Amino acid sequence: MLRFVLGRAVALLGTVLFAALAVFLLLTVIPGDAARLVVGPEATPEAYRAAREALGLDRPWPARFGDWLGRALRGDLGMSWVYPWPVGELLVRALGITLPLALLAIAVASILGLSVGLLASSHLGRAADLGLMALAQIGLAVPEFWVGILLMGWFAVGWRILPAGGFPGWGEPGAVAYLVLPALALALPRGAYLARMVRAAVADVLSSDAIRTARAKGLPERRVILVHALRGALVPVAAAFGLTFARLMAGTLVIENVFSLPGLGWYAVRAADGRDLYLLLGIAVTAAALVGLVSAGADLVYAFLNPRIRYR
Amino acid sequence: MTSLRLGAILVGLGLGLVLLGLIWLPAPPTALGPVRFSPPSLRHPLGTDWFGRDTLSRVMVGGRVSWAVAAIAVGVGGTVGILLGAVAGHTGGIVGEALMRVPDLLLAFPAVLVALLLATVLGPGLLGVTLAIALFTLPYFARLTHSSVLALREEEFVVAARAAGCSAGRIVLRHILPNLSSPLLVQASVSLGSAFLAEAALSYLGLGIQPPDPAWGRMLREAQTYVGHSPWPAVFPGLILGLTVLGLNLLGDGLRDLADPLTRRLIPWRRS
Repeated sequence: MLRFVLGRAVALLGTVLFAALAVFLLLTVIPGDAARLVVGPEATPEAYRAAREALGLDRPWPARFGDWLGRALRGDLGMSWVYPWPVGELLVRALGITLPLALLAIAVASILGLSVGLLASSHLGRAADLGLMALAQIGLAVPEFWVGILLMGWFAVGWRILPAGGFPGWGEPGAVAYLVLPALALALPRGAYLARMVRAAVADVLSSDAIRTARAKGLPERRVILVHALRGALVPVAAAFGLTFARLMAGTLVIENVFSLPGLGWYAVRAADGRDLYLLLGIAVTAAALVGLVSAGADLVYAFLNPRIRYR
Repeated sequence: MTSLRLGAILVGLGLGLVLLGLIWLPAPPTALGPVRFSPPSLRHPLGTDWFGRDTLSRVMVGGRVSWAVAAIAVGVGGTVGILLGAVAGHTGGIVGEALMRVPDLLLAFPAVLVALLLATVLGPGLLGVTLAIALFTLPYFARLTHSSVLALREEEFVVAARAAGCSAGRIVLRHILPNLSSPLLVQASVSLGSAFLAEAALSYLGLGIQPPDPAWGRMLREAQTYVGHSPWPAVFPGLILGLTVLGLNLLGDGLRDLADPLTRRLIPWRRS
């Protein structure tokens, strides 16, 4: 087990490092650099060269990447070019919105997915199952930002129950209300996906000998499904959970822009507009690390639930 | 079987609407009209937007971009993914494993972020968007092909082909890949659906085709501003997009059942 954990940790570190290098290389080939943005289009060549030197853009890229890496390891991710703050500080602030939003959404999606999936699998082949799975198909097909816009139209602009967007900061009372609509929009397709996975996994287990034995013992059907079938179904569901969280992160980046929430996705769009190299690097590394952490976590749970995997 | 038929109908209708737009449109898609925010009517079946532009025409024209980007991205990403997976699977060993780290790395990046990065390098046009979606499609095809090639490599018909002196390329192309045609077709259908969603999200963020030409995501962005005033411009582009994706997903499910009659027979509820 320890070897398994170590292996995953090394792989994660490698992924994040490679991600940083790839983004750095991609962004160093940009025509028109930050120095041009800093000095403006009418600057003299001397001013432009001075700005390039000040930003360190005149040095070859391996040296700059090495510099960045060395400082990043000590916790300094450089200064943003668009915002007057260090990238690290911006990232912490952005994660303060992105993480709670993603967690809220995954919580809603899990509750939705588990209950719908279990409900459907206890009526396998009957009308309730067909109806719920048809709904899940629809939930899986709708774009989350469209759902976000419609929810905003009804709940925020029409009925004025919830705020339409923006974020007042965690100090304000009721700040979490600003995350409700975006989390709901995110949770719908992910919940639909989990519901399909739960139903398929439970249906799979239901045809096994263990379940026949449980039923033969005379256990009530509810107990058979909630205890025996669900436990057997947890392994594939844990795998699906890791995959769906990665998708959810991608959805978060978009939905933050729908609801004007200053999280990672919001800053990513602005950093891309302003060609903010260090901010983009920071965001890319953070996103890759988050996705990697979650999928490594899902793998660990998977290995824990299914011992056969550990000893491969 | 029903899902295959329903999926084919939905995809056919969606594609038909876009193809019809190539020869006939109810109104010029960028022409400003006198009636703003018209609800659906005989004159404007899907209503009009803030500028009085006909939503149906804009949806029909916007669909061209979505279909083109999704098809090209999945075509390119799928082909490269299949080749990568096949080469890695057939080579095997450390080289094969190392090659398969490429799709793993790609999966670690959200497509939106890749598209934003590419947009800073290539500009906000369609090239970056298509490339980002292709990169995000590639890993699924690579993994599917890789695992199947590994499984088939030691099968007798492959060993026989090798003994008969077939080259590695011929074995992969003529003997292994044809066996994968149905799972790859299923994956292509599902990937097309994801590509539509990704394209719409990116065009919502301002990437892809630029105004005044319509794209579904951009139409939704414009409609969002006035969603309190009139929901209609926000409803229909998303609805058509959702129905197209639903059709593609159903098509994928149906194809899977078709390719795998055993699950259909053994598990009766899968028939729905």
